[in-house]
Amino acid sequence: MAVCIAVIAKENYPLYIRCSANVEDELKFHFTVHTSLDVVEEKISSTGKTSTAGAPDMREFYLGQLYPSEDYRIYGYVTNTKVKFVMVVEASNTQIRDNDVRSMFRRLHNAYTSVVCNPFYILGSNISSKAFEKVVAGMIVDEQKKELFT
Amino acid sequence: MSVANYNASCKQHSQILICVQSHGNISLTDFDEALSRIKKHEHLTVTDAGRKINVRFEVDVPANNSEWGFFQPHRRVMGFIMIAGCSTAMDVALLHEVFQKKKETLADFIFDARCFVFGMENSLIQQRNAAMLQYPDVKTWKTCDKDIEEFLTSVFYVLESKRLHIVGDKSDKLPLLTAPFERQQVSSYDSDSRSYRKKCAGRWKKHLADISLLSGLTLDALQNYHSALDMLVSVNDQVWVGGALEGLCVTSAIVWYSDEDHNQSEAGNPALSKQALDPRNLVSSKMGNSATLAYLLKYCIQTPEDFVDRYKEAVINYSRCKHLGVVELEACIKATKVMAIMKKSMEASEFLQNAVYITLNVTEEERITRYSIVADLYRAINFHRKSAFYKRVAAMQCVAPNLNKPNWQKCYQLLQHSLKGYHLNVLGDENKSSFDSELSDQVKYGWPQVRLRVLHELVFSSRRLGKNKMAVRYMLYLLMHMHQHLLETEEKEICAGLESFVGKSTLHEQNDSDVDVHMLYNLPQVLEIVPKPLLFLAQPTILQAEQSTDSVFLFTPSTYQSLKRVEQHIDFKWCVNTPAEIQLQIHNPLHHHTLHVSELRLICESSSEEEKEVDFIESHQVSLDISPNSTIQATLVVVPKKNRTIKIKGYESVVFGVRSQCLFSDMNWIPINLFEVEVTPALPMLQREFSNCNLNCDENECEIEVHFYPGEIKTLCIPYTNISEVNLDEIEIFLSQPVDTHKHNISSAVTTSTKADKKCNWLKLKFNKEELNSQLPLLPQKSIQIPFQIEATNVVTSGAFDLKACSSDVQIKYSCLEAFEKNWCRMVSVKLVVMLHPCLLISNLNISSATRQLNYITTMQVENICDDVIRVTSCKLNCDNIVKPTQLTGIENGHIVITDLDANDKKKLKFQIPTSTLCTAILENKFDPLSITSNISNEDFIQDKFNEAMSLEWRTGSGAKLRRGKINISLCEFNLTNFVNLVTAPIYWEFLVNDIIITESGKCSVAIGEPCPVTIQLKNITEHMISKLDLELEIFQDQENGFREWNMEDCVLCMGCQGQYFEEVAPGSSIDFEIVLMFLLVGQYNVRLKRMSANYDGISDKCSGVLRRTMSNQSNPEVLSYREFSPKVVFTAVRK
Repeated sequence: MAVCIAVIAKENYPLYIRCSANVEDELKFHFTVHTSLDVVEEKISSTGKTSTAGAPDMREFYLGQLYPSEDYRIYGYVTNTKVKFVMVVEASNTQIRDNDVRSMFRRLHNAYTSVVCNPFYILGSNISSKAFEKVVAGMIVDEQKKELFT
Repeated sequence: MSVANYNASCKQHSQILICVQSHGNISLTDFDEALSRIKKHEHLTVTDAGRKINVRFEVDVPANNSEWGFFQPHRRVMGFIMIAGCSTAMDVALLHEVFQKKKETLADFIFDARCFVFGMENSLIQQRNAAMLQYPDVKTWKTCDKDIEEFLTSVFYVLESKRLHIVGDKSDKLPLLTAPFERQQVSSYDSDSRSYRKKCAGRWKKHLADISLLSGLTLDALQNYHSALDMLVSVNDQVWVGGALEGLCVTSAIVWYSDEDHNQSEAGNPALSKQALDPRNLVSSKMGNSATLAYLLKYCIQTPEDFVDRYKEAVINYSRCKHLGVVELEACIKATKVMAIMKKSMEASEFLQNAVYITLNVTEEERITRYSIVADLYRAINFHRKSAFYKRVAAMQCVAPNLNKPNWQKCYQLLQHSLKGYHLNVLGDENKSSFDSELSDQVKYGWPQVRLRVLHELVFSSRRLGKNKMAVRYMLYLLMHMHQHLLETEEKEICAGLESFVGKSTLHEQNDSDVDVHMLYNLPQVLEIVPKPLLFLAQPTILQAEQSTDSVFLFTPSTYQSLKRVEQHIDFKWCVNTPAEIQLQIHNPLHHHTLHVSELRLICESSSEEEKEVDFIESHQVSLDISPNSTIQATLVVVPKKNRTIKIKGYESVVFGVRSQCLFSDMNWIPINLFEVEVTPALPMLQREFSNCNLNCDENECEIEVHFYPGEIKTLCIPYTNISEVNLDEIEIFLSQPVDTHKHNISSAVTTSTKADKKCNWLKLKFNKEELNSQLPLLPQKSIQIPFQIEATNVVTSGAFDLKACSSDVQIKYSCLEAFEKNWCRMVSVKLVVMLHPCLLISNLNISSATRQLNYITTMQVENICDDVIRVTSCKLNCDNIVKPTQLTGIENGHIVITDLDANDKKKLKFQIPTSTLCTAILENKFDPLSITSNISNEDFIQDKFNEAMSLEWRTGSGAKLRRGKINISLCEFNLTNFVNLVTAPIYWEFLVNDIIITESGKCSVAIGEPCPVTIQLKNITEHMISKLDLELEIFQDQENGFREWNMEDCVLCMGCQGQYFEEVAPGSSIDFEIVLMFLLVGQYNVRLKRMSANYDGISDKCSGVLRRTMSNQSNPEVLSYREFSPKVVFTAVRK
């Protein structure tokens, strides 16, 4: 499904980034995810403005598609604590729906929550949890499996 | 149209394009100056027509752009200006031809042309042509304003006439306006259809609107755009609908933001654009009065959202036609610019995204410009990361491998511009407050992989350009901030690179005055700073504790706390000219490289008000190597030079040839960021000479061990040298009360058990102040002897003891005059440990009456238990006093030698001593010889006196090794008998037989049967009255076998009363006891007088009981004192 999944800290540095194994230029995704933060920030700030007027807690975590590029679609998700999840999906992959992405993010968020709940995890440090790894791998590996089958 | 204008903006739609060209040998500066003067006329008010028009001057406009003039008239070159340099008339003539040719090529588009010729001498100038003006020099071009205005006005009127022509043309048969790419298709259109006519009309309306806008009629333009749109939409003329929509949007934008456009340069400033919360507030005041403005706004696009939608529509329309790539790109750029002002970042980003994907056949150069412009636009909408990304893309394009000539310079510049987007602050302006707190978080964290990449690229490109200094900077930044993300090879490479630059940079940039000061806070990282107090010996101390008289209270928490605050964390002082140390914990964070830090030293600041005081401290520098990932401890030495407070603010070092200055205040991992140490005036410094004495010295405490025998007196000199440069003027010595210590282990060090610290009473310590002061002032490098007199007195020597130890702390405070005034001194502390060894043992001290009155006999046993030969002497006694040993060794230094004792020798000494030695003292003290009771209470005193009377001393060794001391026998145990015997009897007895005194000899020979008159004179030698003196004469025969025959009635006749009673005897007076004896039988008779008193001179019963018992126990009646008995006289009765 996804080609690249990244977890970004509140201070906008990567906590976790993983690309699909068949990607050659990993740095490209670093750049992609990094630049997508601009949009994420823009979206946060614009929703932030509206939320002050209305209900403050009703913010939607899922930001939707951040921006389209030629080869990829980039989706964003922001938690209450301003931890950002960014997912890069291949533009050619048309099977994936907005709802799928949303549920993937939700799963990712749950996985991240359990990482944070680990008393040995220091907030703000890189995520090295195996359970989290597994969840992410599940989201990325799907794609490879599909490729193998087809 | 192939060349896109990447600087496109909305206002260009309202600007008449004038092409400016240079020709001939005109210098670039002259051309620039002329151009700048021309460009001042971007806004022109045509007073006749009452219009305000805008003009855009462009140098070298691509010719084919003008062909798009029907589609978008602002692309059309409407005027032509040639700026040329000529010096001769010939040149002018040639130029004229060129000018004419140029005019001809542009004839389709331009309305008017001018040629300005410079460089002609005044005399040669011939103004032949109105279109060709000649001037000697650009600077003397006085008619510039007039010339340009005239030219522009002429262009305007042609345009205006065209506009009026279009407005006035009501004919149905209008030709179809076409964009260049549409020309071929025109023939295919059905020119008679209704839609065709509508299309024509619509296009003309659109064109009219464009021209209206150009000629300053905004309202007309808006109205015409609307009507054009109506017409064109109905015939689905997509391209021109797009054009009209864009025109409408652009005009609206001009109406809204024309002020903003004026301040284009400031548009990037977020603070300024923040004011533009509602775009409609920004309507230009230039647009005339508010009524017309309101009217205008009615035709404008009303809301930003609407604007976005309309513009989007326009772009979609453009995108449907492949020929309109450039127009679409420019539209996107224009739209983005407007949306940046509107704060519609998301929408703007979409337009930009679109602009990036428009495929154009462009040159490499253009591609770079395009990416660069896109990056700038992203920045304008606050998408800094995107901006940085495209900057980097542009930079990479500059040096793409397929290029023949990689442009490293540009690549480097672009990369540098991208740094901000990655929140990299390499150039070290961290202290400048351009970053708010959120941003500085990002500076701190950042995206390591991306940053690494960019920095590596920067290093590479700056090295390619030979900008070593910058390369060093980037590499240092990488090492400092990114080292945890670096791979081993990368780190090694960077370190090697840096080291290779060290040599070069010092060579090249030594003369560089503005060598930047880096702040390498973590390369290496100083983890801990500990200023060290001076060595104990060198520490300055306060001479006399200051009494705080501020408060009436001895202690209040408030003053205590305030005192504490003043103390801070440094409670010690440094001293001028004394090297002081500071310990640093330094950590090398690199994993694979040994850091070489050189010239590491402290940055200090004086508290003095005078600025730039340099020589208040001498900071020594050190160099060290720190192996990877390790922490070492370094000690820095400073030598204060002036008496003031020193502030230690930071440190300085050279790493990789780069000098860095780090302040503690910027190091938040250090709890204290300023160390203030007070410096006292220069003080002298004493050092012990390690010549003699038993020393146990460590850094802080010096211990001197001295061995003593009891009673020994010694002078101990401790030698010191003044090792400072200052005179020593004052010295004070404080002796502490000696304290008993236990020596557990005699051979090794003394362990002082704190529990058993008792005051020691046998050690006397003194020092001679005069002798000391006579040695002052002590010049530098001179020595001083500090003398102590030590005496071990009051040691009981009757019983054996192992060893005694006693210690005393001696504090020597010294100072020089200057420091003394300020109450500062240095202190040497010496611990004197006195070890007392037993040497003589005195036992069996016994005092008994002598055969002679007013004398007593002292016997004692002296045992030498040490290994030396000991000689016992006395300064008070003489030969007569000594009874035993008989062999006298003579007199030595006024001391009579009593005996010599070999090691472990034991001798009995016997002395006969007159009681008069004690008498004086007894008299002084109103001593009552009658009352023993009162004397017993004075026991100590008497013992002392006795000791003094004896004045025994011992000495051993000779010459330098001579040791001597007093023997104190006053502490020996005295029994009552001893005591009684010591005291002079109150009565002095005088025995007279036949009026001859025989008291002394005690012997008398008489014939039997002859009367022998015996008179015993009793003299009261006390100052007291003796009362109730009952006397009885005793006559007995001593069989010298312990048996006495008392029954003498058969042997002796007593004529007279054998017992007599005297009521009282006055002091000093005598009474006579007279009797006549007649011995009847031959033999030896002992005769003596006995005092019959009920009590013992008023001694208490209890006491007397003891006394009597002891007396009765004594076998030798002679021991009985003269207190009770008179001296015995032995009468030898013989036959006549």
